[in-house]
Amino acid sequence: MASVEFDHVTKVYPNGFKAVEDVSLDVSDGEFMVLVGPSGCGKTTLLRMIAGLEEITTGTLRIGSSVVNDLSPKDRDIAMVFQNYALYPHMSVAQNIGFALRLRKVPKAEIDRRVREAVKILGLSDWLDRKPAQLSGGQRQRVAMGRAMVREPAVFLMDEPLSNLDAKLRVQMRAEVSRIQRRLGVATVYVTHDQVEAMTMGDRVAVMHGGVLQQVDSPQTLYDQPVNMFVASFIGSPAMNLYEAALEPGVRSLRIGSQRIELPDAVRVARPGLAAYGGRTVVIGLRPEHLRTAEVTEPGATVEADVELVEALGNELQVHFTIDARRVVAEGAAEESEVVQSGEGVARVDPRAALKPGTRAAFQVDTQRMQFFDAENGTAIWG
Amino acid sequence: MTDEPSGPVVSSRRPAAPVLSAPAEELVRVAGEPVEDVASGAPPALATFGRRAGARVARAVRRRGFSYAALIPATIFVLGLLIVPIIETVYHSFTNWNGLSSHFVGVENFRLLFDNPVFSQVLVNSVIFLISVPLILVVSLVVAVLVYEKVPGWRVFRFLFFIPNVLSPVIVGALFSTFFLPGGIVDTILRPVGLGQLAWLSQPWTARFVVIAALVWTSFGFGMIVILSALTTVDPALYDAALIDGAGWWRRLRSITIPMISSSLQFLSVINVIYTFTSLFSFVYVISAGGPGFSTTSVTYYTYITTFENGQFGYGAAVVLILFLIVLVMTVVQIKLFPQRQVQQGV
Repeated sequence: MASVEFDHVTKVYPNGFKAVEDVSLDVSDGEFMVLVGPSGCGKTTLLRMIAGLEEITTGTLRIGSSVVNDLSPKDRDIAMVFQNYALYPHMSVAQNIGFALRLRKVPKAEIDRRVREAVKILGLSDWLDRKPAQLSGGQRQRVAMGRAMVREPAVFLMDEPLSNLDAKLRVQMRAEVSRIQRRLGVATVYVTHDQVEAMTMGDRVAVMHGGVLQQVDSPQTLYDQPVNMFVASFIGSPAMNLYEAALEPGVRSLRIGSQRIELPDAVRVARPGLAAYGGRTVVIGLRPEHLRTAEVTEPGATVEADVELVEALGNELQVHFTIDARRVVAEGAAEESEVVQSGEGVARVDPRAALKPGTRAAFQVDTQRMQFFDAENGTAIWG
Repeated sequence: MTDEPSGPVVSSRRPAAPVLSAPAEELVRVAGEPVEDVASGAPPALATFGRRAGARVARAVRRRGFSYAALIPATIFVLGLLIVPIIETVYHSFTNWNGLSSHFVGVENFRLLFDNPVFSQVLVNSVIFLISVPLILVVSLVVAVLVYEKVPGWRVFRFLFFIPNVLSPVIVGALFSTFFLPGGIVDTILRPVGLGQLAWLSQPWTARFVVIAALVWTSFGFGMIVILSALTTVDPALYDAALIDGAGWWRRLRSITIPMISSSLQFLSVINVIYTFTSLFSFVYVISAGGPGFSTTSVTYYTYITTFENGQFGYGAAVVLILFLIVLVMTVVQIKLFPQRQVQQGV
């Protein structure tokens, strides 16, 4: 067991593409670290550098106390679970799981014992002699986990291991992978593009974008205090609503489109940095659940919006609305297919709220939870 | 044919105009055969059968008329140049045809063949030439894997190694016989090692070696291309997984590459065995003319000698027939021998 430490690591491909830029990141022993970000953000490259499958251009990578930059994969004491599992198709489940041990000349009895122990934990005992092609997706995923487990490695590396499973199985395996990881207590680096997986599984989550590490924090901190607009809109579903707003001098209120929202003292106390933005345009972020239709608790902090669409999910309504403010899209955060309309937004409200498409509704804004970002560089405004 | 409606319904549905448009054609297909085709003087049962078979053919022709027309040229070629000669060869192998007169002699040709020490020698030669097959497989595999792993200069190698394959066997044969002449390039290189002055083509084993070397040299380029294309279908993540599991180069070759591309190796093995039996004529003709003695005479070269030099056409046909049976058996044996692995990609 060991920690993983990136020290100013950069990866530049021969064609000049910078996949990872100056990443410094510590994964402590036993920690479940999730790397999350959109496609091409460098998270898989980072993982493959730990594995030794990608060379490090500059910087230092340590596993435990030793620098492993130039160590071959087999000497790094790591085990990896691949997105498509990469099971050896011509080997049985037992052979797949025991392959690494066999190569390490572990005595046959010992291989047998460890394979049996792993399949017992994974519930694969009845499938030892099957070939991967004869297994279901979930079983293959377990075999891939087993292959990593029997190695008793210092670090687990997982590259989107659940993305090939159907939605229901994914939820189930999510819990199972977390359970196994806690039981083994091995440092784990887990790559995913699914922010739900990131939030539910990670002790800490590292958000990457464009090869650059954006923020590393616990899931809750990421959600509550994103450091920039990218993290704010990448974490959370439906995504945070971002609008341009004009702070009035003195920062006692702001204008969003044609409407005015009063800002209580608590906001200014929590974010002293806001004072410098008086009279300037900023970007405000409102999570869908911070817009309510219930009774007005903060007079002066409501926005009126045109209801476009109401999706009833049973436990809540997702209300798609438009207001006359300019909506802001964080670079790289939006799905490519998403058609962004000006002033569009989403609120999650009580299912009993009587909202109909085509009507106008007033939403109570939770100003204490409102996020503020610099309109120029997208960083959060705090101190 | 329970789906065929009865006569009156058919005629009522049948379009009056010639069938041109797709929907109308479709209607006729569904409706079945027109009534007038039924007319026949045969007994009821036979008439029904004849009508149905005829109907089926007529319907197929109408639906796929152009397709059948398009098949005719190829069919003529296959029948005329392949099927008919094959049947004729089988027939001639039971005659003593000398190109002018011919009469049936039963299995006499085969009896003579198996009593003929030269023919036994020729068969033994062919078995010896089979050494080339594993050599070709090993060389192709190693070269393909190295090119696939992009060793420095892999593009050049990929190109260079395929050149021998597109050279005419006559040219390759001429090259090799020149290389191995006394005083040739091989002689010159080997003289310092004390192996010079070897008359390569005058001794049975060294002459066979030269033929096998020429065969391997021309064949491995094709094998490389086949294996390269097979390698590109192997999931690269398997190699990543094997690297992490601690597999070295040989282990990856043994435990991942070979099992994953076994069907391509089987294919190469089968066609190279066939090639060794059937296509050595030009090499042997140019390099050694089958000599010394008959020590490098291949079955095809022997066929040539008996048929065209000795004018024993029936005897030659018998040799060819035996060659065909040998190749057939060897191919079936290879297909059975290779492990039939249920290798699936993307697992």
